[in-house]
This record gives sequence, C-alpha cells and structure tokens, in this order.
Amino acid sequence: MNSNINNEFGEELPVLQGILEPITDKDTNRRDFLKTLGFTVSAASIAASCSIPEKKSIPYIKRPEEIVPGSATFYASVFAQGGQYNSILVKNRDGRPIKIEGNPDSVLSGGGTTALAQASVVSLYDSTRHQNPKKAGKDSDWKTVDAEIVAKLNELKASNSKVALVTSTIMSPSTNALIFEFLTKYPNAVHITHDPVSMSGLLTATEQSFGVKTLPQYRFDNADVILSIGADFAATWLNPVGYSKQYIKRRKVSKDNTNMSTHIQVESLPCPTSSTADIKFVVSASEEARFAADLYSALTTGAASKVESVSKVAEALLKAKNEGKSILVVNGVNDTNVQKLTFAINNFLGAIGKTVFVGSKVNYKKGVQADTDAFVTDVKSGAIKGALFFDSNPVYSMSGASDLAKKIEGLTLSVSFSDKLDETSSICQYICPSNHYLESWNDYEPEQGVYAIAQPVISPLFNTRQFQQSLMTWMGNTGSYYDYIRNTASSFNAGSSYHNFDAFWSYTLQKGEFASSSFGSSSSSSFNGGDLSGAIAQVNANYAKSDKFEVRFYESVHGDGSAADNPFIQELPDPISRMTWSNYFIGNQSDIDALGAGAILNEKKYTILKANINGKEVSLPVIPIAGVAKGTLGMKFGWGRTNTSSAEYQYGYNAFNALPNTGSNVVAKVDVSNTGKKEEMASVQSYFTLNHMGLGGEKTRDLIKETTLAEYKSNPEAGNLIGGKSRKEWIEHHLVTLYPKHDYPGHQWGMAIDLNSCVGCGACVVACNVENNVPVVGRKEVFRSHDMHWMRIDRYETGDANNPDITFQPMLCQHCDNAPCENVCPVSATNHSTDGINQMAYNRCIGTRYCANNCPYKVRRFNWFDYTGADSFGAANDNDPLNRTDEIARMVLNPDVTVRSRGVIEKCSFCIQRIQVSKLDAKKENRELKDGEIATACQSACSTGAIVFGDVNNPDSLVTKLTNDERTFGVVEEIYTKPSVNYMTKVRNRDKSNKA
Amino acid sequence: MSQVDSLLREPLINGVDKTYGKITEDIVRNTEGNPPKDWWIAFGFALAGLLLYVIAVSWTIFKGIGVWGLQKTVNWAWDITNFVWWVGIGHAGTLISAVLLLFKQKWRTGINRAAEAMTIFAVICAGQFPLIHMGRIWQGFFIFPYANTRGPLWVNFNSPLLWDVFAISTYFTVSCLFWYSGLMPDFATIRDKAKSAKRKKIYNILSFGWRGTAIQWSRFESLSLVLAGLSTPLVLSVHSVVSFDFATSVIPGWHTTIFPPYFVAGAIFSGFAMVQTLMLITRKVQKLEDYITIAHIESMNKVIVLTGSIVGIAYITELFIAWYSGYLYEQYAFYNRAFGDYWWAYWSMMTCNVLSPQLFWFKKMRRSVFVSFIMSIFVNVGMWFERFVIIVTSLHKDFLVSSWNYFTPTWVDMSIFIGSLGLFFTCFLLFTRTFPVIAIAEVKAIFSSISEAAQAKAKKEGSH
Repeated sequence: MNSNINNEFGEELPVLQGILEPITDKDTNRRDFLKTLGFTVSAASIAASCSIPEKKSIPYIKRPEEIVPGSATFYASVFAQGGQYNSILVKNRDGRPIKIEGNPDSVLSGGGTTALAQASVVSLYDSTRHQNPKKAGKDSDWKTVDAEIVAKLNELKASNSKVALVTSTIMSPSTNALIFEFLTKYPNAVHITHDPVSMSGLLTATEQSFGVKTLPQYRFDNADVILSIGADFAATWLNPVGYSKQYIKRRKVSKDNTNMSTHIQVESLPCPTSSTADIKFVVSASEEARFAADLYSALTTGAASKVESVSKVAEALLKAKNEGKSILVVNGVNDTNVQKLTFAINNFLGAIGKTVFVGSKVNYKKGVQADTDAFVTDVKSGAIKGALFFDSNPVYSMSGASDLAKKIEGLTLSVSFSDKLDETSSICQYICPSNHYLESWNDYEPEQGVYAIAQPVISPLFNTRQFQQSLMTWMGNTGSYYDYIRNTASSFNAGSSYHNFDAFWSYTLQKGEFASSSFGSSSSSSFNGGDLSGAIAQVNANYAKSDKFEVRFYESVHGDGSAADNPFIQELPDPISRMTWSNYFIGNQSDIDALGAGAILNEKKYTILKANINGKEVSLPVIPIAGVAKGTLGMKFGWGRTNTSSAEYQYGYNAFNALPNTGSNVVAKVDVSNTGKKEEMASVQSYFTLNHMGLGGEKTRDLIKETTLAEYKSNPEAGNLIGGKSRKEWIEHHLVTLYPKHDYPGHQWGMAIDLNSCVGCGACVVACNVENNVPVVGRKEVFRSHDMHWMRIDRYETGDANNPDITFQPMLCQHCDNAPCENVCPVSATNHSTDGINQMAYNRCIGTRYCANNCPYKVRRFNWFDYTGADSFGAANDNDPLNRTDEIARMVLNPDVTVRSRGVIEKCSFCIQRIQVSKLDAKKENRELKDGEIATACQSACSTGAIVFGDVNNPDSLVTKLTNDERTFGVVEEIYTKPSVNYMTKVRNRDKSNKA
Repeated sequence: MSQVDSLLREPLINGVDKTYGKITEDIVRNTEGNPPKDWWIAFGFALAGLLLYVIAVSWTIFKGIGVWGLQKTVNWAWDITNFVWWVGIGHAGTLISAVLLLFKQKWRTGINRAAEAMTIFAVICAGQFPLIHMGRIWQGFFIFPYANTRGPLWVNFNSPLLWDVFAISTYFTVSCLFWYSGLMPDFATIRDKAKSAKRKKIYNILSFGWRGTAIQWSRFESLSLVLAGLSTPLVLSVHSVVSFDFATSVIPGWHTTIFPPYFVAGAIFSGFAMVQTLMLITRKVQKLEDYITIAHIESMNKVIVLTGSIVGIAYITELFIAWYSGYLYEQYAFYNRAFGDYWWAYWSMMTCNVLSPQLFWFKKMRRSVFVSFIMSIFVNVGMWFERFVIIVTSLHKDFLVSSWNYFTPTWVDMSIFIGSLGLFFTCFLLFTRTFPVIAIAEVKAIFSSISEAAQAKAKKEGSH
C-alpha cells in the first residue's frame, strides 16, 4: 500500500523504448513522449507560422531629442527650385523626413505646394546621388579636392583669368552676400545667373520701363478682370502657388458671394490656367506674341483691329476700364518688347499701383539673357578659364549653344556642386556635391520684406558639403554657414518688433517665414515706357505670320528638367496631355490630319514629326490636343536629359536645344514633316471630349457640370438639374437600393471638391503618392496602363473642338455608401467602415479584380507586379526599373501606411492614417474632433483649397455646408452609388454658355 | 425500355450485321490494343498544348498577373472569357444525359457518354481560370467558408464570385457522379472482355464489382433518374449564376436582366457545338458511324439552330433595351460594341452565332457532315467572341471617358487559352482510349427497340 502511494506518479511505462533513444538516451516514458511531442509540435508551428524576415533594428542608447517613435514632428523649411518658392513644413518620422506639407503661415505660399515641392523629398533618398567629392570622375576626399581647387583658383586669380560662378537664381540673401565676398576675394570671378526657363523678357522690360531690374508684384486677388496672354500663372508661371491662391480667392462663388473676377485667356496652347478661363481665344503662337502690340494699338488708338480676338479683348477691357474695374494683364511670352507693351497696356488700363507693383524686390527669377549670352560667348572665345556650377546645368539648359560642352571640358578649372549625375557635372574636373536642401541651412528672401529660414531635417546622408560651406572654405573662412545666416538674419530683425535677435530667430525658424510690416504695401514706381512704336515694329518683325508652322515652348508642372531624375515627377501626368515619362509636340488635329500624322489613340501610338527649329532637327511624336491653335506646335521644357542615373529618365527631346538664342519661347517659321514612324507613349488618358461620341444628338456625358455666373445668380442649382428637377428631389424620387442602409453613428467622412478652384497642377497627385507609398511603375508600365495613382486629375473638354472648355476633375475613390465594389468581393477584402470609409484589407485580398471592374470611377489599382519589394516571392520577380526597392529609396516610405505586395488591389483610403492620428489626439485631450483638424494629403497640398475633407455628420463642418450646397453633385450618381466625394459645378463668368 | 419505333423513324443504329456482341466489339475495341498513329499525333499536339499551359500559368504565378494584357480599366479579359466559354461548353453533357433522359429522347444514347466526358473536362478547364486569374492564388482558399481563427472573418455571400464557387463545384460533382455511375456497367463489360489479369483487375475496381444482376440494373436505372432529376436544374442554374457575375454589376453592358436565360441558351448552343465537333471526329477516327449516325447529327443541328436563334433574339433585345432605356451610358455601351474599337469581335460573334446557323433550316445542310463540322467550329469561335464582347467591350469604355482604354492580349494570354485546349484534348484523348466512348449498355437497350421492319428497310436502302 505504502509503496503504491509513493509510486502514485512513478509509473515508468517505456512507451517508445528504442525509438526515441537517440534523443533521450534512456527509456522514454509517457510524459517524456508528451513533452517531446508538445515541444516539437509547437516549435514546428512557430517556425512554420513566422515567415516574417529578420530585420536589423538597433535601439537608441540615448534617445535623441524630439524623436518619439511612432509620432511625427514637423519642421518649417523652404523649397526653392527653378524660381518656385514654397514655404514648407517637413514631416519627420523617427528622424527621417518623409513628407512635405505646405506652411499655412506663409504670406506668399500660404499652405500650398507644387508637385515639384511634394516630390522633392524623394530625391533626398537617392542612392545614385554623389556620395563623395569627385576628382576626374573618381571618388576623392574633401581635403584633396579643396587644396587643388584653391590652388587653381589662386593660379587663375594670379593670371587674372576670368572665372565664372554660374548659378540659377539665388533667393538667399546669405548666399548672395557670400557670393559677393567670393567675387571680392577673386576679382577675376563673375557671377552668372542663368535660369533655364527664363523671365529675361519681363526683367529687362521692367528695367527699361520702370528703371528697376526686378520682377513686378502681381495681385490677382485685386483684379476684377484678368487678361492672360499665354501666361500659365496658376500652375507654372513665376510664383504659381501664391498666384493661384490669390487668383482662386476671386473664383470661388457661393450664393452670398458672386463677386467673381473675369478671366480672359489668349493663348496658342491650352495650359492648366486656361481651364479656369471664362473667355478664351485661341490664336497662333506668333499671334500670341504679337497680341500685346496689337492690343496696345487697338486700345490707344481706339481703332478696331483687323484681328477679331484683339478687338473683342480691347472692347472688353475698355468697358471694364470705363466701369472703373481693376484690370491685370500678364503675358507669358519671354520677349522684352512684348513685356514692355504689356506694361504699357497695364499702365493704360490703370493697373500699375492697383494690380501690378514695381519697385520692391521680387526675387523668383533674376537671370537675364544678356548674362547667359555673355557666358556662352566668353566660354567659346576662351576668355573664361574656370567655371563653377551651382544648381545649374548649362550643358543641358544652354545646349542650344554648340560646342559648349567641349569648351567647358577644356577649361583650366571646372567644378560642379551638383549632388546628382547631370550633363555638366559629368564633364567637370571636380564634383563637390552639395547637400540636399533638406540637409542644409539656408535663408530666403523671395520678395522684399519676406525672410524665410530653411533648416536641415536630417544629417547629410552622404559625404556631401553644402555649396555655401565649400565657398567659405575656399575663401579661407573657417566659420559655419549657419553662423553666417544668423549674421545675415540680424539685418532683417532691424524692422521687427522682436525684443532681441534670438527671439526673432527662434520665431522665424519655427514659423518658417517672417514678413516685415512693410510687406504688401501698395506703392509702385510709375511707368516710363517712352516711345513704344519701336517695340511694336520689332514685335511685328520678329513674329511675322507665315504659312509655316510655329513653335511655342512652354514649361509644365514638371519644371525645367532639374527634377527629371525624380521618378515621382516623371510619372506625374502632364495636366493637359496626360502623358508621362517624355515630352512631345502638342498640335492641332487638323494640322496633324493634313500631315497624315494621325495617332492610334487606343493603342497609344503617336506619329513622330520632324521639325526644323532654329536649324535643329527635332523628332518627337505629336499629340493631338483640342485647343491648340492651328499652325502651332507646343514643345515642353525639361525632357531629353542625357546624363542621369537611369536611362529611364532620358526620354524625349531637350527643348533648350532648340530654343532660339534670343531666349524667346515663340519661334515662327518652322518646317515640319511627317516621318511616318509611330512611337508608343505612356499616357494615362487618351480620350477627353464629353461630347457624346458616335450616337449624335445634343447629349453630353454629365461627368462634370458647368454653368455660367449669370445663370448661377438666377438659380444656384443651374447646371445641376436632372431632367429639369432639383437634383436632390430627383434622387429621392428615382433611386432605390435593395441593400440595407449603412448606419453612421459617429463620424461620416466626406469630401467636397470645387471644380471652380482646381487648376489641375497635380500637387495633390504627388502628395498622395508620397503619403500613401504609391508605387512608381515606370514608362513601360504606364504605357501598359498599369499606373498606380490613387489620385488623378482627369481632364475633360466640352463644346467647340477648336476652342473647348477644359475642366479638371480630381478623381479618387468616392467612398460610396452603396459601393459597387463592396458587394462583389468574394472575401470581403473591401468593406464599409462605420464612419463611411470604403476600406481595403490588403492581406485579405486575393486579387480577383472584380471590384476594379465594377467601380464606375475606375479608381481601383491592382498590383500587377511586385513593384515594392513587399512580395513573398522575393526579389527575383520584381519589376523595378527605377530602383524603388533600394534600401535608401525605401526610407521615404510612410511607416503608417502598408506597403502593398503584388496581387492585391489598392486605392485611396481617405488618408485613414491621418484620420487616426487626429482621432487619437482628440481622444488624448478628451475633446471632440475639430472641423478642419484632419486634412488629407491631397487637401493639404492644394494651394487653392479646392478639396475640403471633413465629417458630414457634423452639421457645422465646412464639408457639410458644401455637400448640401446647390452646386454639389456626385459623378454618375444616377446608378445610386451615393458617393462620399462630391463635386461642385464649374461656374464660368460669362453671359451665355458660348464663350468668346 | 420497350419502345416500338415507327417505320418512318430513322434507325438510331445503322448497319446490317449488328448484334449485341458486335456492339460490344465495336466500342470496346477502341480501349484495347495500341492506339493508332493518328491518335498519337493528336495526343502529341494536345500534350504540347498542355505543356504550354503549364509554362504560361507558372510564369503568371511567378511574375504576377501583369504578364497578361490586363490593365487598370480592363481587369478581366481572356481569363474570364475562357472561363465562361468553357463553362458554357460544359453544359451540353448534362443537358444531353439528364434532360434528354427525362424527355425519353433515345437518340441521346449514342452521344451522351462522350458529351458527359466533354462536360467534365470542360468544367475542369473552366475551373482553372477563377484560380489562375487571382492575384494571389496562394491565398485562394480564402474563398471557401472554412472555420478560421481570424475572428468574424467570413466570405461575402453577396458576391456572385462566391456563388460561382458553389455553382461550379456542385455542377462538377453531380456531373462526375452521373458520368461515373453510367460507366459502371460498361467498365464491367470491358473487364469481362479483358485478357490480361492486370487489365481485368483495374476495370473490375473501376466497375465497382458490377455483376449485372437484376437488382443492380434496377438500382442503376433509379439512380440515373435521380441524378438526372438533380442535374436538370443545374443545367439552368450554373450558367445563370455565371451570368450573375455580370448581371449584378453596375457596368453598362453587364447590368442586364436578360442575362440568365441568354447565358443558358448560349451555353447549350456552344456545348452542342463542341459535342458536334468532337463527335464528328470521334465517329470518323474510331469508326463509329453506325452508332453516331447522321440522324444524331441532324438532331444536334436542330438544337443548334434553335439555341442560336434564341441567342440572336437576346442580342437584338439587348440592343433594343439599350435604345429604349434612354440612358446615355447604356446606349453608348451597345453602340460601342457594334461600331467601336472592337467592332470586329462583335460582327464575328453575330456572323458565327446568329447568321451562319440559319443554314440549318435546310435539311440538306443539317445532314451534311462537312457543313456540320464547319458550323460547329463557327459556333465555338462565335461563342468565344460573345464572351469577349460582353467582358472587354463593356469594360474598356464605361462611364468615365478619362479611363477609356484598349485591351491587347500578350503571349501569355494566348498561351493560356491555347494551353487550356491542350489540357482539354489531353483529357479527352486519354478518355477515348481507356473508356467506352459510347454507353454500351444504353445503346444495347435501344438496339432491341429497332423493329425488324426498320432493319429490313435499312438493308433495302443499302445505308450503313
């Protein structure tokens, strides 16, 4: 008995004697067996279930100041490139800048950004940047490079040989001061300011007409009538963010405010700005150039012009003048005489001092053609022996000058500060790579009275050194550029109300921008144009009409080519042509037909034309665009790079190569022939007209709704009636669904997009791409219509095919209440949240793509290949010609957004991660969410406030107000999708619906 | 099974010297001995096609669906076209075996076995496409409502794709059962004729030990009737469900209430055409002209002209309704079908499906082997185009003009389609050499019903 009690648990049943012997080396009892079994099963299941790859992560020993894992910090800084000035906030996560936001406190850019600014953060994480100083193409070190360059500089100074410091426009007062010091130290040096897309005509005209060499200040918000002669001021011209903001202020209409400006556009090529024009005249490129002269004559002599458009515009302007309205005329033709005449018109109409101000410095662009010409001449003649290139790539942007590259190669000293491979740096003896702007201190004075500080948001990733620091080093200045800036800044503090400099500095650093009290004062020098008959004669001679083709060069939202190696910019569709990854001619359909150069639209094949422009043979495919003047071809700057990190960035033709040496963007008399060859182009939209194709009749597709101001005044629902009935009434009476209604107990997110405010600049598209880790797929994939953009700007045409009304429609997931995508997903991977969001569960998606087929808006995107390196099959099958899966490139990814693997559908999430952050913030502070607290990426990037996001369950929110507005409609709402994104009718300020 | 055929009725089996033994001999002969050379050539082609299929599918799974010609606007094209085409083809078998059995159409016995086999292989081919068109086939099991530990995560019963899963799997299961149960007596016949022990053993297992007792026959007949009863609604339901893939959507050209009957008619149409194609080849190659007679061909052609005309009416109804709707997007969808970028697909469909079968109003045409064969190919082609037209032309230009696009297939798309034919014919050719292609037992049942007078008449006219 006792022994039995002692032995209660002592059974030693040799269950598996002999089998498990190698493991246990003794008899195995039942317990051992179960233990072993339990261990092996659990080990096997753990091993089998955890396929997550091992990632290195090192914890902080000392946590850096301000970095809280998982929460973002924002630092004010400045993006300034190609003449653009954007005051920005840089979003940092875990010490990395990952997103650019507009700085709402800026007096100039006021929270808006451009597409270029949005994409600039991507170029920071570019492993193909120069990682070390280079000598003769090989990596070197700063000590060697510095010593050799200083020796050469001194040598050149001793022999009094000319050295040119070539830069783009420098808005930084400190850098300007530094360059002045450099020029003093090296009196043989000259500073050449060269803007690839130049404002030379305007600058020179100001100098001649007002005696001040600076750009004028424009006040689009002061103007009752705006006449733009080929100036794309809302998207690319000078300071597009600021101008579009001012302009749209007077374009937003509501029942209470119908004080809308009148915008007349005269142009040879359609541009984003002309989409919002009320009255549009399409004239040929030479007519566009002559327009100011003709208009001036018509206005001053009172004689009716032979040209219909001129007399009509003159009539309208005179009427406005007599009514005491303020008028603003801007002109996009880069020609001194044309700009002088434009000033004369402004003066005649009383605009100077009302909408145009000349006097205080405006620094967006300072380069004049004479400087560029002097540089080219001196390099060619051998007068210049040394050249330093900062933020300037003359081998590309002056490539029209023959032999320039060869001569630069032969210089005694050539230094490039470029941080990336480009045409100039590749032939320079030394490359002293400057930092990316997000790694640098700097200051800016875009307009007199506005002082901004740019601060670094990350340590330099590579062994690079800021340009300014290099200059200081070579001048023997051992101080830091940071101290130098503080020194400069102290002079701006002079007029401020801060009690000491440190307060001024900290405040400006935090806010990003300081505007002195004198900024915005309305005084102007007076116009002193003198005799203009000479100007008129010259304009008429230079731009005489001929029976040949004319070419109009233009800049698009992609900039001047310096950002061509940024894949996000390359993949941003052109607002007008909707093409990516290349440039082309845009032409009139009847010209194209006459040349037999038609396109196969559905296969995206376009005929290549050969044009002889200024003696340069240019072969580019021609894209038929409605609204291009007959006889005119448009050609875009910024493509045809030849020396970049990837051949993918080198499509197209370099328009600078064909630019005339006068710098004018209009070339008359161009011979054009058809090569008969076709090229496949990476377009994202091939069809534009809403006129009902094929079936005839009056009906047009009502994807966008339009009306005129007069009609809107008489009925706020004008243009938004369905079958003559009020839209809401119609919906209530005609539409039913079998599905149960969704219940939205808390928030219900919605969006309102004002078609009147959208200028199609594309900033929202890039913002969305960066915010949501949207893959870039490359030219070939875009050609195959595999583009992945969640947000796109559709462009539509209505009316006369030769002069259509253009409307942009930002299109994104409509987050339908009755979503057609949701009920067809077999696995419920896409479903409806209780706050009205159409959600995607990526890891549930099996990729049947039924949702994408059934989406009436076609906003769903499928991961056709492994674009992101997130796939379980590994790198062998990726599709990544642009190196986006590179470790450094991936640093820009937003950690709050899942990186999608191949085989799943993705789409706009209403920036759910941003909603979540704000909701948590409100919860932590134990308060209700405030209206406007959450801004989606597209909304915050928009300079014109076209996009409003918010809670439609909140009766006081702006979005509720807009959603209930009479102008609001949903796209194809007759199929009762009940979209959460609503659009507001486009109202054009003209009397009848037929324009002009 | 005693039915007296009238003198006027054509015999269901031709030939002057037919006996029960001869029938067995004629049919079982094809499963014995080595296949002839032309079989090997055909099999070689089929295998090559299958290999192509395996390569193209592997490439798709390895690289991603991007290797197909699909894009942001047209997210389905050849994949679902092939799927619907194969499912449609798979309709004839059940219709012939089940519906005609219930309607006591004796002529079906000559062709039902092969038709059922074709059904099963066609459904196998069809079943490939819902799988391989998935972006993440390795997660394909999500589509089944299985118990899981992921919380309340369940399939979406609102989705027609899920209905497809049930419809196709049910159809496949019932078709297999029906087919196999009918095969058991014939397997037993082969077993009884088998000379080698191995062959005997295999066919014995396949025949489930069939002994041909009266009670077995009785149960066999009952089972046939029960399965026929079960399958009949499936003939209607499967393609109705497949049509819901389109009909329940919102896309103009898809969102159409006419789809279920229209799809079912189309399915029978294409299925009969495929049966016709296969039977015309089989009777020639396997020398079964006596069992698959001109009368059979004519009957099939009658069904083809009937269903083809139903399909034609459906096409015209669609056009009328589109016009009548007054809805611009709907009108454009149909205008675009006929006169848009894919006009050639629409008019190929119209020609092959609606116009050309009208030839069969003429008896001479119905009874011509050559015309029947050409026409069966026409219908197969036309029905493929019908699905292509519905899927691609509806998608490529729908609501938003900005998204209009054009679909062009890649080599992978084409290889998968050609490859699926390879898969189908590999199965079918193997079937012809291992299984009795004509239901021996059932044919014998009708043999007895042919009157001596009819045989005498046949003899007199010298037909064979």
